[in-house]
Amino acid sequence: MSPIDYVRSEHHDFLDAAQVAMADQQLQLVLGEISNTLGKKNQLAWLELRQSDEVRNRARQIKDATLAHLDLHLQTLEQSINRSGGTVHYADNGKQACQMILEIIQKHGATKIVKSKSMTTEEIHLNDALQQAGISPIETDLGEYIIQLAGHRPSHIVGPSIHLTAKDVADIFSRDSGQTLSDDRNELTNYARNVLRRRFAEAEVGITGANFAIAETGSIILISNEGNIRLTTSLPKVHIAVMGMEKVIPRLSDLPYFLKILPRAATGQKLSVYTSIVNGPRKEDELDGPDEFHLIVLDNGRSEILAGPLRESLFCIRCGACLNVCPIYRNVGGHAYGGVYSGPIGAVLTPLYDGLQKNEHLPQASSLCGACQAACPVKIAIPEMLLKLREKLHDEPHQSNVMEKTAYRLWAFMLRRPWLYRLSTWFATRIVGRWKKKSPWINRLPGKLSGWTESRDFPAPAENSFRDWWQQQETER
Amino acid sequence: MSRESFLKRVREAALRGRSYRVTQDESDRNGVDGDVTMLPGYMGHCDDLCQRMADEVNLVGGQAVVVDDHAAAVIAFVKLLKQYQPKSVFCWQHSLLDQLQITDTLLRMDIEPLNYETLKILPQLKQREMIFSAEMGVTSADFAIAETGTLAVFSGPSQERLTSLVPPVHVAIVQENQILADLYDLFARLENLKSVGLSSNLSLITGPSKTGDIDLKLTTKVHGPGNLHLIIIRDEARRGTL
Repeated sequence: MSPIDYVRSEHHDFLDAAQVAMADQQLQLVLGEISNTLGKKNQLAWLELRQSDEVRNRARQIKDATLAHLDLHLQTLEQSINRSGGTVHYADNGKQACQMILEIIQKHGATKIVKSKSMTTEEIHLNDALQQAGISPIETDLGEYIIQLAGHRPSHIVGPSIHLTAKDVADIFSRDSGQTLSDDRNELTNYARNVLRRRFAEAEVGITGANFAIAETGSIILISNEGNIRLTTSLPKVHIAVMGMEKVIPRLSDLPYFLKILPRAATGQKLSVYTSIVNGPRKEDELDGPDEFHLIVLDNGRSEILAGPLRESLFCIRCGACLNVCPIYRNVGGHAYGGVYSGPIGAVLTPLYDGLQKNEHLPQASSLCGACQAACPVKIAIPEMLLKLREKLHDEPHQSNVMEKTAYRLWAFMLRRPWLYRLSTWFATRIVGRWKKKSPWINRLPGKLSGWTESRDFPAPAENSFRDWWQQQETER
Repeated sequence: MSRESFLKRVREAALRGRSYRVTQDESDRNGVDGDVTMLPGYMGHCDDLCQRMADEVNLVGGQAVVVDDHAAAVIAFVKLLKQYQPKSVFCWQHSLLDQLQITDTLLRMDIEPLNYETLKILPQLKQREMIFSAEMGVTSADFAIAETGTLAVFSGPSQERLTSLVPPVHVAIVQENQILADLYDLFARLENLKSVGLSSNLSLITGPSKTGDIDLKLTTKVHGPGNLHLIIIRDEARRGTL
C-alpha cells in the first residue's frame, strides 16, 4: 500500500501503516519538530503556571464529580439553553446526530454550510452524511480546509494538516483554483482567507463543535486561534453546535481552571487567540449573531464508557498534548492509528468506539512510559487504561496463536518441575552460555524468534547460573 | 420519547460508573469567586497593570501603547488612521469612544464611520457589504486582562461581534480602570453579572489571528484581524507617578 492510502483510509493495519510512516523521511522531520516544539512547550507551561499541579487537580475533580451526575447536569444545561432561546437535541449515536443536523438544515432549505474544526463531527462522519444528501459543507479551519481539498484524514488533533509541507499546500491550492501559488506561507494563508471569506458571507448554517458547555448558564465554550469559529457563530442565520455529552461542566466559575490549562497544554499559549462564550442566539436588537441556536448532545458509546473502568477517558478535553510527547506518535504519526483520534488518547478511544478486536494493536503499541499522563492537563492515567484494554483483549475470545500457546504451556510445564528447571538452566549456561562466550548479546535469534531481534539484541545466557554463583558465595563464607 | 430514554441511559451509566471514580468528592471545593488572589494558578500579581497589559499584548503579536490622558489617546488614534488610511471604519458606540469623540475625528479626516445607528436602517445584505469593506474596526472593551494581554468584548446592539473580527485592522481603546489583573478576576466579575443575564456572545481576544497549520510556523491574519492595536489610557490618580 502506498503512503497515500493510509492517509485517506480510516481502517487499515496499524503495523503496516507504522512501517510506512517510519520510512517516510518528510513525515519524520515534521514529527520531530512537533515533539521538540509543542512537546517542550507543554513541559515549560506546567512550570510557568503557579501551582499548576493544584489547578490540574481541581479540573480533574470537576470532571470526575460531573460525570457522577451527568444526567442531572445535562438537564440543567438544557433548561439554561431553552431559557436563552436555544434548542437541545439528544442523539443516541452518530447516525442520529447526522439526521438531526440534516433536518435542521433542510427545514431552512439551506445549501450553503460552513464548518469549523470539530473532532466530534469527524467522529460521526458528518461531512459524508451531508454529502450523501447533496450538501457540501465547507471546512473553514485552515488545516481542515487543506485536508478537505486534498481528500486526506486529519493526522493530529490540533493541527490536522501538519503532515503536508507548504509546497504540498501550494500544489493543493493551485490545483483547486487553477492559479499557480508559491509556497510562501503568507500568500497561501491569504488565498485561503479570501476564498473562505466569500463562503462565510453567503453561509446560511454554521456548524461547530464545543470545547465545554456550562450547565448553569447554558453557555457553549469555543476555543480557537484563527477566527473562523467566531465568524461561523456570527454570520450565518443558524448555529448548530455538536458536542460529546461528557463536555458539560456545572458552573461558570468552574471554567477558568480549564481555560488556564487547556491552551498551555496544547500549544504553550496562556490563552488561545479567541475564546468565545456563546449564550444562545442573538438578542433582539443585535446586528450580528445567529437567529437560531441548536446544541446536539451526542452519546455514541460514551454512556457505555461512563459505566465502566475506562470512565476516566471521558475527562479528555481534546487538547492534543499527549500526542506531542508520545514516543510512539513521534515515530508513526497520526494516520497510522486509523480511526478519528490518534496518539495516546486515540489508542484508548478508538478501540472503545470502533471495537477492540478490530484495533488490537493500538493498546499494545505503547511502552507505558507515562509521558502522556504527565502532559495531560487533567492527568488522565492513560497507561493504566491501555493495560486494562490489554487485559480485555486477552480475556475476550479471539484467534489464538498456536505456537504462542504451546510455548507458554511448555514453560508452565517446566516451571512446575524444579528438576526440569534446573536441567534447563544447566543446559543454557553450561552449553549455550559457554559456547557463546564471545559476546554478552545475541544479535539474531533463530527461526520464528528472529522477529524479536529485528531491531534489538537478545541477552546471551551467562556462563554460570545464579544458583551456581549463590552456591559459590555460600561455600566461600 | 428519545430524550427520556437518552437521559435514563446516562443516569444508569453514571450510577454504575461511580464505583470507578478517581478523586474524592470535595463538597467545599470552590469555583473561581471571592478572593481570587489566593487561588492556585493566580498569576495577577503586578505593580503596573497598564504596563503589564501592554507587554503581554506585544508578546502575542499585538501593538500596544500606554498614554497619559484622553488627548494623548486621540493623538495615538489619529497616528493609526494616518498609517492605515482607511476609507471607512466600523466602530462600536461606547461611552469611552464618545468621550474621545472618535466619530468626529473620523469625519474630520474624511473617513466614513459605520456603526449601529447608521447600519441598522440598512437591509442586512448591504450592512454586510459595508462591514466587509471596512478597513478598520474600533472598539473599547468590557474588560481587559493584564495577565494574558486579553480584551473581553461582550456583544450587544452598538457592540457588534464583527467589529473586532472582520476588518483587517482592529484598534481597541481602554481605560486603566477597565483592566483586571488575572483571568480569575474576570470570572469573579461574571459571577455578579450572571444574575442580570450574560450577553449572547462574550469573546476573549488575545492578539491577532494566527495559525501554525502550515509547516508548524506562525502565520498571522488567517480569518480575524492581522493587526491588533491597543491604546491604554492611564487613570488620573496614577498619571505622572510612574
